[in-house]
Amino acid sequence: MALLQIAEPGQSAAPHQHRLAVGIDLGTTHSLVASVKSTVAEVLPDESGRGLLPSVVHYAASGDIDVGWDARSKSTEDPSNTIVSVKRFMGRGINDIKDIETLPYQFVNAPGMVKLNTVAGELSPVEVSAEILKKLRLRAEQTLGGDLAGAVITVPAYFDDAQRQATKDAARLAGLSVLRLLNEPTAAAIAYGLDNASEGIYCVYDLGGGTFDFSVLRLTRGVFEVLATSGDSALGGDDFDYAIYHWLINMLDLRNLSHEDTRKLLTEARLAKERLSEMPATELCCTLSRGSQIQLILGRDKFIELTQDLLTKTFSPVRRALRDADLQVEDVQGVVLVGGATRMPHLQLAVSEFFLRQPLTNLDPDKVVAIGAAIQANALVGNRSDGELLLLDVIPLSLGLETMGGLSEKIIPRNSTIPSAMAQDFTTFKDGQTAMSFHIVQGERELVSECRSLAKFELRGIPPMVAGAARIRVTFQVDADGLLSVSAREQTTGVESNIVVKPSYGLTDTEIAGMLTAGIANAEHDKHMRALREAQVEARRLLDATEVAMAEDGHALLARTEWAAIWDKIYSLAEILMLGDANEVNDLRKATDDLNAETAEFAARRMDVTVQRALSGKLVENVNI
Amino acid sequence: MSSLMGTNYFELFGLTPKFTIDMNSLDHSFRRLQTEMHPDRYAAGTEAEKRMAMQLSSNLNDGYRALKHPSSRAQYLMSLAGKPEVGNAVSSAFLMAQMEWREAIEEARAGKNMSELTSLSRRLRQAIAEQEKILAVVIDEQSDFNLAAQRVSELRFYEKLRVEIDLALDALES
Repeated sequence: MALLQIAEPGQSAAPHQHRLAVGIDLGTTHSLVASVKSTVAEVLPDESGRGLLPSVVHYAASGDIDVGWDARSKSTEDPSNTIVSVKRFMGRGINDIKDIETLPYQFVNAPGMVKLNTVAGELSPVEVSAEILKKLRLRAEQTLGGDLAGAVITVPAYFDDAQRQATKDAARLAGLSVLRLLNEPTAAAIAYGLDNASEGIYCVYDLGGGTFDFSVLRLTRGVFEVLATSGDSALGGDDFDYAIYHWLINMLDLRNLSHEDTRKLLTEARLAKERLSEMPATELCCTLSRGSQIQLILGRDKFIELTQDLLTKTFSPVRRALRDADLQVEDVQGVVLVGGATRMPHLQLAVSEFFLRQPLTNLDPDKVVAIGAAIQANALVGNRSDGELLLLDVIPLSLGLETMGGLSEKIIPRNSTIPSAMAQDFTTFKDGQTAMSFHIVQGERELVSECRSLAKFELRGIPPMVAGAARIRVTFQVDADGLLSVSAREQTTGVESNIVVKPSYGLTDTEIAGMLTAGIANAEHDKHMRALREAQVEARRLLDATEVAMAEDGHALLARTEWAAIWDKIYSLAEILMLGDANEVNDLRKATDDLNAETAEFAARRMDVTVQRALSGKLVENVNI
Repeated sequence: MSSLMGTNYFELFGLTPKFTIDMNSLDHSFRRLQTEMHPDRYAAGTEAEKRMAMQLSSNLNDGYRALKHPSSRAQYLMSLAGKPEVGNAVSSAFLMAQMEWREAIEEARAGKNMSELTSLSRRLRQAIAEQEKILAVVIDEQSDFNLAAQRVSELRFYEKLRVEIDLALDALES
C-alpha cells in the first residue's frame, strides 16, 4: 500500500500499485460492467455467469428494489412499477418522450426532466439509473475485491448537455467516482482499434436500444481522433419492436389494451425480432389478459418492409457525419457495428451496400462498448504505463447564445474537438444598461425556439455607459466529458459573472442529498459513510499523485523549503487518512484542500517542464523530417 | 504554462508562419502535444493539474483548428501581421458570381434535385481550391494583406455556400 512508502520520503519512487477501475455501459436495454484484469479487458459476469444486466428496475410496495433479471420478470405483472428503458427519459421533458401512450408509467410533468410516480413515490430517471449503476458497482467490487478508484461511464455520442449531466448525477448518486463520460462509439473504436491494430479512417455505426450514433474516426498509432459524430437520440432497436407491435395491433384490430397486455405484446415483438435474425419467419403467440389467444406469422420480408423507413432514417446522420469530416465513402477503411440491433441481417446488408464493404463484427456488439470503456478507465487511473492511448473526442451539437430576434449565435460549432474554450464579445444596446442576460442553447437550428434551452444567467453591475461602449466577453468552456461551463466578463471594468451550466433539469446538490436520504431508515449514517468514502478516495488519489510527482521532480523543481512544506502537508493528510476516523470527514477534506493548495505552484512548474519537453522534442523531430 | 499559452500557433506547432504549411507536420505536432497535455493524462492528478491540462489542451485544439482551415489560417496570419479585419470588399465580378451560385443552389433546392446539388457541391470544392491557391501567392509571395483580406472574404463566402448546400442535402435526405 502506498501509504507505507510515505514513512521514507524521497527514498523510492511511489509504487505503481494497480488501481481498480471499471468501464460501465449504461444501456437502454442492457447494462454491463467491464474491467482490465492483468492485461485483458473483460466483462464482469454476475454470480450466474451472465454479463448483461437488463436495464430494468422494479419497485415493490414493500420497499424492495430489484434490478436486472429479477426486475424484468416482473415487468408484465407490475408494469407501472417496473421501469424499463429509463435511459430514454434521462434529461428529457415530458414532450420529448415518444410513444408515450403505450408506456405504462404515471409520468409527472416536473420542470425540465420528467418524473415517474411509483409505489416508491415520485422518482427521477436519475434515481432509477442510479439503481442500475449501484448494482453494477457492487458486482465489480465483489468480483475485483476492493473499492473502485473510478469508473468510465459511456453515453451516446449524440447525448446533449442535459442528458450527459443527468448521467453524471446518476453515477454520483450510485457512489461512483466518474473518471470520464465516454462516447459509446468512441469506446467501441478503442476496443476494435487496439484489438486489430488498425490505422486509417474508421466509422462506428451504433444502433443501441434507444439511440443511434454514428462516428467517423481517424486512428493513428494509438491516437483515436473523432472527426465527426452525428446521430438520433430518439431512434433505436426498440423502435423495431414498436414497428412489429403496431403491425400486430393493426392486423388483429386490438383496441384499449391494458398496460400488462401492451408490455406482453412488446416483449413478444422483441423476441420475434431477435428470432428473425436467425430464421426467415416466426410465429408470435401469447395469451392476453382477457383470455384471448394471439397467433400470427411474421416473415422476414414483411419485417423488412415494416422497418425499412427506420433503417433509411439512420443513413441521414451517416451522410451528414461524412460530409462534416469532408470524406467520401471510399475513404473509409472499416465500419464497426455496435449494439444488439445490428445483428439484424437486413441492417448489415444495408450498411455493407452503403459502404461498399463488409462491416466488422468480430467483437460482440453487446460488449464492445463496455470493453472499450474499461480500457480507457484503466488508462485514466494510471495503470497503463505505455501511454500509447489518446482520445480526441468532439461535441455532437453546437453550443450557442440567443441574440436579438430569437436567433442562436453559435459559439462552439458541432464536431469541435474537446476540451474547447471559445469566446465572443457582445455589447450593450441601451444607454446606461447595467445588466445583460444570456440564454445558452444547444442545437443546429437558427431559431432559438428550435434548439434545446440549457440555461439562462445574468451579468449585473455593468457600469453605465453609452450603448455599444461596454465590451462583454462570454467564454464557453467544454471539458473532456463534453460538459459546458460559461462565464461572462465586462472587459473594461472586469465585472465577472460565472456559471457552471446546470441545465434547468439538472439536479442541485441539495436534491441529490435529498435523494440519498429519501426513504432510508439509517439515512444519516449512510450519507455520512458515503461522504467519508468519497473524501477518502479523493485523499488517496491526491496522495498517490503527489508522491509520484515528488519522486519524479521534487528535487529538481522545488526549493528546499517548498519541498519540506509539501511533505509536511503529505504527512498531515496521510495521518488523518490512516486513522480512518469516521468523525473526521471535515478534517480529511481540509487536509486534502491544504495539500492541493500547497502543490498548485509545483504542478504549474511540472506542467511547464512537460510543455517545454514536448515542444523541444517536436522541434528535433522536425529537423529529422 | 505561460510559455505555451502565449505562444503563437505556428511556433506552437513548430511551423514557419506561412499560408502554405505541411499538413502532416501540423497533424503530427498536434497529436504529439496532445499526448502530453490532454486532461486524460491527468485524470489521476491533482486539481491544479487537471485545470491546467484542460486549459492547455483547449488552447492546442483552438490553435489546431485555426491553422487547419485555410480561411482561418489566412485570417490568423493577417492578425499576426497587424491586419485583423477582414472586410466585406469584393469585386463586382465576384458579386455577380455570388448571385449566380445562390440562384443555382436555390433552384436545385426548390426542385429537390439531388444530383444537381451534389454536382454544385463538387464545383464549389474546386472553386475553394482555386481561391486557396491564389491566397498562397498573395500572402506567401506578395505579402499583400489588403488583397488577402478581399480573397479571404471571398473564400468565406464560398464556405458559407458549402454549408448551405450541405443543409439542403441534409433536408432532402431526411
